[in-house]
Amino acid sequence: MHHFVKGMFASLGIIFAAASSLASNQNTFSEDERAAILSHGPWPPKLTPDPSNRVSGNQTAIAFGRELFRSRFLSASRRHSCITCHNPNRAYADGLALSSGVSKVDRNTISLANLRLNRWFGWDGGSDNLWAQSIRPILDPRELNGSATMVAKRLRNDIPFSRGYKAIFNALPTNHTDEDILVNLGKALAAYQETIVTPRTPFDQFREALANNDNQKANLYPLAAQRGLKIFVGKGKCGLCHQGANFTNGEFDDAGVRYFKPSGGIDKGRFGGIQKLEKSPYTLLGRYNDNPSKVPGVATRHVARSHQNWGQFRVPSLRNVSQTGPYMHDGSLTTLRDVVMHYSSLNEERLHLDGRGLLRSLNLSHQEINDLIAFLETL
Amino acid sequence: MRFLLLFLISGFFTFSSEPVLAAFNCDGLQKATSGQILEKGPYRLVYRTDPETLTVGKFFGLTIGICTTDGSPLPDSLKVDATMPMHSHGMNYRSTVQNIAPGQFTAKGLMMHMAGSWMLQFDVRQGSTSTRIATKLTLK
Ligand code: HEC
Ligand code: HEC
Ligand SMILES: [Cu+2]
Repeated sequence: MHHFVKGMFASLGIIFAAASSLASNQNTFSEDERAAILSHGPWPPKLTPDPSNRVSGNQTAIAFGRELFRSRFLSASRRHSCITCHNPNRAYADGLALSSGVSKVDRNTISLANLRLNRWFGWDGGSDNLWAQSIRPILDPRELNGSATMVAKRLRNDIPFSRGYKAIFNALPTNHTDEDILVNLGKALAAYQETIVTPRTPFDQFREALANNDNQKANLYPLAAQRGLKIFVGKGKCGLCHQGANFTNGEFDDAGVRYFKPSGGIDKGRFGGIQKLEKSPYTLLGRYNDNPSKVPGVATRHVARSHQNWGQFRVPSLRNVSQTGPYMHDGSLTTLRDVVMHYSSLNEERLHLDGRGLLRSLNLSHQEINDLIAFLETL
Repeated sequence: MRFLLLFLISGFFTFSSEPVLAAFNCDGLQKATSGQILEKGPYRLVYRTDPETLTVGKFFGLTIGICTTDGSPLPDSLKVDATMPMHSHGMNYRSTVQNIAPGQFTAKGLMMHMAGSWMLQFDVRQGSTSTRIATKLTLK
């Protein structure tokens, strides 16, 4: 009897504890917070072919682009390939602070994923489309150090690659100019890279459970991550820039990272990116855009270079972010803890005028820092 | 949609019944809208966004009608911009404005890249004077 009562109290206690933890999970988010959380989905996104690239979505082009991506044939020395820096086993990045091909590059390699969602490419948005961004490393003397002439010559002399090319572009490379060949290879590389999409994550499951008011499923999401999420959409204001399903608004901002290049000089950031666009023959406004009405070119037509673009870099997506360190355009922050510490104690004087009012030192507690990291790890 | 129709009708009357240079019909403009009318100095401005609902990170355009309530001349030109005063930044894009008919303009290439409070600004120019007409928008 005695034991029975004791046992009953004990199990009641467990029930109460379970019930109250359930209640605290359910009521954690206000209506505003809930709306903000739901805005980071759904995932995966619906993707459509790129209208500026006539082989986007073409299976033959995708297979050919995959070969090219792995082949050393695009590098002058035949020693490097896209994979040198965009390693599929490292989330299509290289795990290095600064990337290195023929020689060191001043920037961190961007992990390749969900590229159909980008409006701009590169840390400075120096390209407005994926095929142009795929040509860039072929020509960069520090990366593959090639040229249109070199690539065209090699392609014409390589029977299997020539055949592959013809199957997609309806002519042997001997019938195309060097420049056309370069751009077409960029388009095949783009078709392949568009297929790299990150899978659904614990965050996506949580978001869906929240959307469906399924508390049982929502409770599978760790409490620490839930608390971190609350900071992310709340006082951290992270979601203002890391917005939407891909956790980026696709634009440029100053997150208080130094912009002196490791090799000396200043990284002009977005300012330099717009200058590159103004000079490039490969933008959506140029003759290589396959869409005759140049429809996707609206951003390029209206982009405005201004003083505030100095020191701005593209807001990176946070999908898969636990796999893509080191972080920031110059790889200067090694771990997610470093990043969260950076936001927690920002050098406010370093920030541009336009960053003020938005980014402030968050002065997070030890637990808040851990919570924010726990959240980022679920993306 | 109904707004668009009224807008077109008001435009139609203006141009069919009077010489092209005649002042934009303010009565027509006022009837044409509910809530998107702005007034400052001699100007009454009405605008419609395309698409109707604005979304963070999506480009949009505007159709704008401007009339004067005191018979003073219609504006020669118009500039459209948007800023986020709380964050002290503007848009990353510069809109292009076309004067399609007396008192009627279209603007293209606007994009608000953050959720929160924005000021949509119309700088109306007539001769050497510029008048700023602004309105607050909240983007979720
Ligand atoms: C030497 C290392 C290196 C090699 C080789 C390299 N990349 Fe990159 N990649 C980078 C770096 C660094 C960046 C960031 C560039 C910047 O912002 O200036 C980048 C950025 C990109 C991006 C932009 C992604 C985004 O989200 O904006 C794409 C696409 C890309 N590379 C494709 C390729 C392709 C295709 C190849 C092979 C033809 C290639 N890369 C070869 C280092 C490399
Ligand atoms: C004002 C816009 C803005 C806000 C607000 C913001 N970020 Fe960022 N974030 C950026 C930009 C821009 C970068 C890249 C900066 C650079 O490379 O110089 C970045 C980089 C990052 C990175 C590195 C990702 C990578 O792949 O290198 C992480 C992680 C990150 N932010 C998390 C956060 C968190 C967490 C918060 C909230 C505490 C936050 N951000 C708030 C704009 C913002
Ligand atoms: Cu803002």
